Amino acid sequence: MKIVVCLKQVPAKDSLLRVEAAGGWVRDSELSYEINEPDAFALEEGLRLKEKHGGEVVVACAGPARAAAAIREAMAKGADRGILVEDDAFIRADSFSTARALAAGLGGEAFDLILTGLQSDDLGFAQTGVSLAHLLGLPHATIIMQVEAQEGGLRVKRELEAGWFQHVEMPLPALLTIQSGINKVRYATLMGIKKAKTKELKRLTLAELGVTLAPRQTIRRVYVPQKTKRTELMEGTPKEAAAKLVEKLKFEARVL
Amino acid sequence: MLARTAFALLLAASVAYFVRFVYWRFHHPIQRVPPLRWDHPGERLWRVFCEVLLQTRVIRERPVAGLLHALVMWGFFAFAWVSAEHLSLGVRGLEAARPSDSWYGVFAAAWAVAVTIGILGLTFRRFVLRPAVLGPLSGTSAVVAALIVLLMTTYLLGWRGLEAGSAAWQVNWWVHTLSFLGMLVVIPQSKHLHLLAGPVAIFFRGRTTSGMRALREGDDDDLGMVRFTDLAPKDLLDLHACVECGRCTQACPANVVGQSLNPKEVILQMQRGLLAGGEVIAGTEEEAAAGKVWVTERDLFQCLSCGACEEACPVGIEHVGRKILDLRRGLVSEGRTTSDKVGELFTTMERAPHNPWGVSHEARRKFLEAEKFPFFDGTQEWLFWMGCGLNYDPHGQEVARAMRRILDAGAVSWGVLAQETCCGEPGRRAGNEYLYLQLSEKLVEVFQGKKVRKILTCDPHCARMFDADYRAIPDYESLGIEVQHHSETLARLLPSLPLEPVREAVTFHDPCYLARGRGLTAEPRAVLAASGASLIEMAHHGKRTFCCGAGGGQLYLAEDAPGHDRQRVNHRRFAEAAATGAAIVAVACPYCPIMLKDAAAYAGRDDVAVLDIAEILARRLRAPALSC
Amino acid sequence: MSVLVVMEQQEGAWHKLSWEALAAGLELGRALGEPVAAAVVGEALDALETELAAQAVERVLSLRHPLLAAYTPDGYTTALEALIRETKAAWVVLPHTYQVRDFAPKLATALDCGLIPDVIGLRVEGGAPVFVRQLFQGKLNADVVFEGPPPYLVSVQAGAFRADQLQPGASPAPVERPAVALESKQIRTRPLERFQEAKRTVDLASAAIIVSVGRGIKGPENLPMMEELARALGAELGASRPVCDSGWLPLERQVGSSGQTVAPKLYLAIGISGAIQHLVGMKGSRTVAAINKDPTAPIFEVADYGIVGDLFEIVPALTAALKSSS
Repeated sequence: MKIVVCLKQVPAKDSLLRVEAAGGWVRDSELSYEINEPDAFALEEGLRLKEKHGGEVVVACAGPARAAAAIREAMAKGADRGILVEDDAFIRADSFSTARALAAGLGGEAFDLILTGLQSDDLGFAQTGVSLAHLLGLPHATIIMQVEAQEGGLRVKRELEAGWFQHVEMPLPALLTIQSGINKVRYATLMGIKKAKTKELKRLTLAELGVTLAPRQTIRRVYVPQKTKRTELMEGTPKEAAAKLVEKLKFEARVL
Repeated sequence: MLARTAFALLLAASVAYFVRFVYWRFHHPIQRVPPLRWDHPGERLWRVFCEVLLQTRVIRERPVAGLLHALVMWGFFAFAWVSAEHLSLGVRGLEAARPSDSWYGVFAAAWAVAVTIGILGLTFRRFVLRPAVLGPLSGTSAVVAALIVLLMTTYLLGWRGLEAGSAAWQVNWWVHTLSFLGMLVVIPQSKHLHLLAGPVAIFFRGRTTSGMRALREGDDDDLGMVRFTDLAPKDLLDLHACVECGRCTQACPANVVGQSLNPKEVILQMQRGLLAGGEVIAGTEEEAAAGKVWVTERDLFQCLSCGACEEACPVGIEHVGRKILDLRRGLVSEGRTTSDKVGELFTTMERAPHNPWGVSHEARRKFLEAEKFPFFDGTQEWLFWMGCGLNYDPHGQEVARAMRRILDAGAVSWGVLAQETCCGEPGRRAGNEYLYLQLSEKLVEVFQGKKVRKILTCDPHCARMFDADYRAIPDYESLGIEVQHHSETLARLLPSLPLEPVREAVTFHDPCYLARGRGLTAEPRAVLAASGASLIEMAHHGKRTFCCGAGGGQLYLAEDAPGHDRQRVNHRRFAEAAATGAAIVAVACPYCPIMLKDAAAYAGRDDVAVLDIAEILARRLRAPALSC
Repeated sequence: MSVLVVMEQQEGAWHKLSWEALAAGLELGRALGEPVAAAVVGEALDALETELAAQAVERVLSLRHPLLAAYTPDGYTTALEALIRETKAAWVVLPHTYQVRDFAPKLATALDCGLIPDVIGLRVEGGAPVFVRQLFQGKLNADVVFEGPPPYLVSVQAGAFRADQLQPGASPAPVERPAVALESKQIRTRPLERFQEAKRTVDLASAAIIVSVGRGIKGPENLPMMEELARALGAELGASRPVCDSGWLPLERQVGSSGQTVAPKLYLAIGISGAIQHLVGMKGSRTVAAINKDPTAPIFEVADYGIVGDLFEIVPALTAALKSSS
């Protein structure tokens, strides 16, 4: 099975985010980066499918030059080669642009399966995978919790809401977006790192691919939300405090 | 003439046999690195004098059996001259025999009696009392005991009982000779090789327990200990020095609470694998059952790396850093672990904020802001390295507050890093060298950038990393950083602190990585004494301390007890502490209180407080006088 | 420049988030001064059409086709793409459900337009709407605007718009059933039956709400009180390690580094002081509430909401409040 895993490099989850003076974006020189967590699950799923059915795992990424580190890490975990469509615009590009760049980056090469994470931990648009599927004319399914190859294609388990699931059958080639927790991600090993040094990483530019980005939406301003993360204590008699808590959980936290 | 020829042939055959078996045991393709340790030769010789000649460890761990053993061993030395003379007679001819009337004969006879008592006592213990820790009955032990008894009785007979040169005397001489040569045959193919390997292994043992080696520089194939060809000279010595006494297993907290790890068996399995021409040392239980590997992943990952086994070992074996942790490293480096918990620890640490709990750095940030901790910028003398325990654990933060008060009262110039990652300790101890290399590389850059010269930490695990593991990194070593555990700093500061001691009963739980890993037991006690504590010691204290259950990554790997079928290490340790009757259990490591407080909650003992020595000392600081 | 709200239904029942999307659509319509239509997709929709027509919408567009009975991204995209092109709807508002996440990006790509997902607020600036959405998992907010020609797709986050403030229309809106051109060969995926996992007796890892108890509950005799609260919340019962070590609750209910790692929407910690070993097991919770008698308990450091007091008084009051509010 020839598999592509699309991944994104995002600011490390625990980063202290400071908005730059102009308010257009965060000060990214202060950040450290890592593989977007849902994409790490997609990579793991790709590696497991390869281990089971044979084939190849290619990692594709549209991102700035630093994203090469994420591809190297993926190769250390077992991916066979990498493709990086390199441009700083991808740091805050909309999914539509990213999907177009990835589609071009795959360069008409035929793959059986394309995997992406469900969404990115930074922008969280949750669109790139589905959009890419449409651009490549592939059937897709999202929020996948299980992937099985079967005669004539795949049988996948989709997560629905409220504890429901659904199996979906589809032909190959296809694209799946993978839900976090579908598997247990492997750790990078010393042996893997040593092997990764010799693997191929193809770097492409938008100009080489003949792609001009035409964003469909832009982030005009970013800012720290008003909500301060302090513990809010409910005062009053037990009855009053309980009633206040229920009100807060319902309408402020919206978890009930 | 015939007798002399027969003797010469027998002697030659025995010696040849001896040499052949020693060769068989020691001739294996192994690594040259790390080489045997020759540093601090004086200390090493003194150690050999105490532990070999005086038998201090043998006796300390098991007084009765130890003394009996000492009698036998001292007797062997006393008999060196007797045996030399005895054998020379074989060369010179038995007709040269003269009745012995020298003082040495009397001396040796006294020892012959002592040795006989010793060996009979040990035999009684081994074959009648049969303590479980010795394992299955050993045939060679019986043979050796019989040979020793024969040697002693034939000596006594030859000395006084029989007329020198008589036929009966000659027969007696031959029995003694054959017994002696028999020893040469038995020793190299049994645990009795410890007679030779033990003292050497003791000499070359690490100065503290659980020390890990650096990977061989420039050797891309070195992924940790994977194959028998990865053994180093000291490992080979260790495998053949083992006397199978089981002191290590008796001291092992994991084993004591009923887990399957048995440090003695780890060493013996490695020895068996080596001699059987095995290839890969460790793997899954299935692989072990199929005879493909010799040590199981399951056992290896139960180790707390506390070093109790190494401390108890009478023959200088290094079970932990040089075997168990290195074997873990081999498994992890090749991605051959199957435990989910192990994988989770690593995948958690791989991602920011790079701490073993995977908790947000935000909590630390808030804490430092609220407490207004000074940030280290290279102008202060000490970098106060907080470590994950003080950074993220609520109790650890209390310790940090206490440290702040003491350091300021002692007018120490200090600061903390604005952002700390893990130093890599749990990763490295759990076998993930790659994680350690990544984290240490970034950290060394920080230390270089901030011009760090002195590191102070409340975490003996971090102290061990910065004072031992990191020293193998040239860029770090060239910084010449001095490392202190806070027990050292506090002990040093005591004279300058305004203290009002209050008398209270305290028991002190020695952290493994402080007492055994760093060799410090007096400093924390000095701090406690200065705060007014009257110390009630537990049976396991000082270098013979008993782990809290957190070491070797176990705090994060967590004993996976599905049910209540066995005790937990922390429960056992807490029970021992509570039994002293002291209302305060003092510690000097941020992980011990996590484990011990958990055990206290389980035991419903709200009345027993677990406090760091810094917290105890800070409570005795006189409030600063108001300045005008 | 009309607004179109795409409602979601499943086997004849509304997805309740649809009403919030409708509220958002109506708000947008009001702000822009544009009419608002509502669409529904499926096969047998009579009852839903009537119900929807009662709302203050200009018209109801009902896309009915046997191939739309079961949801497929191909089917829904084809039908909705045609509808949007036909009605020239400029603003398409959807609920941010799992199903919308599955097809809306495809729909946007097919229409060659933008989709701003998961918005939590909107306002109009200089005649153009600005949408607010969360970045970096809620750590930052962003104002996002569309580029290029319409249509523009927006999906709204649960709880962001108040469905309870919807007013019925003056008179029922007309229901239209545009023809749907759809062939089975256009649908490449085959959805099978929906199912729920055979419920394990304890499933903390996937629980949406967890009520977790610590040593503060004193003893196993007080568990029924906690269980009743858990029932009122539809929650699973979890516990700290000492509770499980003591055998008050089985080990599979233990939350923490030696037990389960959980990530519910709501984690309610009762009588748990919050040792690090426990905190790491629940740090992924979206909202944390804590009840503890000790105001300095570390659990309050991580809690969003807290009540300091006697849990034996507060827990029954909370159970009662929950029962009366639902």
